[in-house]
Amino acid sequence: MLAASGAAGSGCSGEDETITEDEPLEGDAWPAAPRPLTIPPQGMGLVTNSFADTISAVDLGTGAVFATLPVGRNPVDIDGPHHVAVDPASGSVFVALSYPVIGGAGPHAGHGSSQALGWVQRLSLADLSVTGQVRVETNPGDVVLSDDGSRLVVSHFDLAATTAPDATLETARATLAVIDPTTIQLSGSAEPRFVTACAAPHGMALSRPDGRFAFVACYAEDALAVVDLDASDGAVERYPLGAGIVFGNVAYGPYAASLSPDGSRVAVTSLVSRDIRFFDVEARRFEDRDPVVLRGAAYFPTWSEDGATLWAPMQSPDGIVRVDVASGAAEERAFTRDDGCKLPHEAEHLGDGRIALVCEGDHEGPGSVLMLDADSLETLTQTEVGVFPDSIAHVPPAAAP
Amino acid sequence: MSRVCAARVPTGSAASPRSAAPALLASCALLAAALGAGCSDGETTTVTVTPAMRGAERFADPALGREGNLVACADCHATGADADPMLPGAPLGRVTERPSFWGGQEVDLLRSVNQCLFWFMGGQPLVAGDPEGDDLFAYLESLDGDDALAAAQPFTLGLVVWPGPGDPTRGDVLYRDACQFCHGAKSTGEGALITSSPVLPEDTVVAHPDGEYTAEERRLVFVEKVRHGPFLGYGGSMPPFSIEVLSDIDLADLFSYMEIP
Repeated sequence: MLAASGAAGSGCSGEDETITEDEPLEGDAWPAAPRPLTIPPQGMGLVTNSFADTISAVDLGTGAVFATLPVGRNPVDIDGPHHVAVDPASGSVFVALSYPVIGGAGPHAGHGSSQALGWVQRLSLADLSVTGQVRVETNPGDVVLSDDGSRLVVSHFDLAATTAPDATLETARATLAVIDPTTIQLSGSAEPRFVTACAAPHGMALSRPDGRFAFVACYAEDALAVVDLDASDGAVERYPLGAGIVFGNVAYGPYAASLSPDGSRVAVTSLVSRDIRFFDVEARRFEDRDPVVLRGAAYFPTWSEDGATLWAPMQSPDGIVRVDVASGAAEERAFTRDDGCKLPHEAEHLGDGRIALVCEGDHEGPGSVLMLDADSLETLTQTEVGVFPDSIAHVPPAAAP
Repeated sequence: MSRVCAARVPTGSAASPRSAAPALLASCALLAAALGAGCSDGETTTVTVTPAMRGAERFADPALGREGNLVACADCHATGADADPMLPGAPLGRVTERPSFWGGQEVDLLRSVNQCLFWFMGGQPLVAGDPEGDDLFAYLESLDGDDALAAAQPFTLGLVVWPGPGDPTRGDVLYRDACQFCHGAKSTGEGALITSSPVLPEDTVVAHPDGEYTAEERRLVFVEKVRHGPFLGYGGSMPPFSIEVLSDIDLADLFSYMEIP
């Protein structure tokens, strides 16, 4: 507080007096940033730009980006927003922060940041302001929310644990973080429950509606893990993608898992074997059929509403395939340099005859989001997003909070 | 009889940011003294202290940070358009009108300020509604400047690459403008504000010995520290200097003056 000036009548016979009065602040300090996200009439897609620390909001009507907002905890480090989930009912967006190692950042960055713990932030769907955050383990890989919004699950794609000199299958296995979204606080959030799943767990799907079972693509274990999240000890069953699997020699590299709309099967896409396999949920085994083999590494797929069709992005060569699930017949559209989609990563069926396709780009400049005709796979629109986009969450117009 | 001193914080330039705010506050007291010097008996002078005046005091006070913190907001930020180009923080005239901060990585001013408090001053975050923090906002809101200052300010940190040889004479000037206030004189640390900060360049060289760092990595540590401050795995509390404040050419000159091995 300011010092009062005190009596100032030095040398005078009378006492002069100085009174200090504090004038109160009028109006509000620190007004909220004017950045509301008004959901367009045809909905929006929220795209995580993992090397730009931003989320792009795409107008699903026009296919164009209409807002880009920063996310993360740190204004300089690459927080690496990696995958995103949305709960329209609670008006929440969940984003995993992965803190990747970035080349060219200096000796200390190279040594340290790969060990940084991950975080999950809950953002307001209204403006992407932070409403809560909780620490998870290193290298969060995927973040998924149960249909009823009661369970948030984060995988930890800990490749370093699988390649350590003394790694064994047991030591290489990483966890899932199981989080009650309602417990996430701005500070002081309770530690999530961690359930050991498998080696390098990445893409996941949750059973409906409450997410009791997690279906997890286990990249470095060549398996699909089915984790009972209600079991106190996190009961895990692992289903190998093939025979003769040897830890340390990834033969399939399952990367993503996507549950069909009726919940009967899980599509498992693999990077190394470049194929798609289907897992029978009720029978708890892979379907006895040949995998759908692609020319490129298979990334995050999406289902049609009736479960008859699956669209899967592929890389090297870049393209997208449309798979008739019953027959396994696949139709491919390959992307050339001029098609505006380098390294397609995730597809999202919009339910209106279109597929939104997230393309990573070259990881230095902007990536892109294409709207494709679901039947012809022709490009309808194309828009630039941030650096290294890796997922899109579909927010329907009715989700406006 | 009474008089009122409703002093307002002037806007625009502040040649010596750290000393400016207390001087403004003192002006009211001096005014009161001057008014009282006429020897008219029994006069009462009321000094009205505005939120911006209180905020100005906070702006220049290291106590906004943790106990023992030595740096204030005013040490890194100028307040007017004629900002000292060597200060690492953006000039703050019209800062409350900007759409984003930290090179676009923050869109909330309060969050942006709290990042400074956390990383550079070790302080607790300010919360809207807290009188001290609100006064700081009032001070920031009082700062004027040209239209360019109302826009988001560039903050480019760049990659960590060795800039090559430069001009040591120019580097001497740059060192005094950008480094000496905190680190003290080259090779002695004499006059350093932060006595725990490394003496440059010797302490940093010693802290990165052979065997743990190659000669190339050791050189890059200097670039890394200037460009990224405590971020990207380094630690400490030094603010980063963007390319807009210190160009790669500036770094070349600076490091040549410092004779980094």
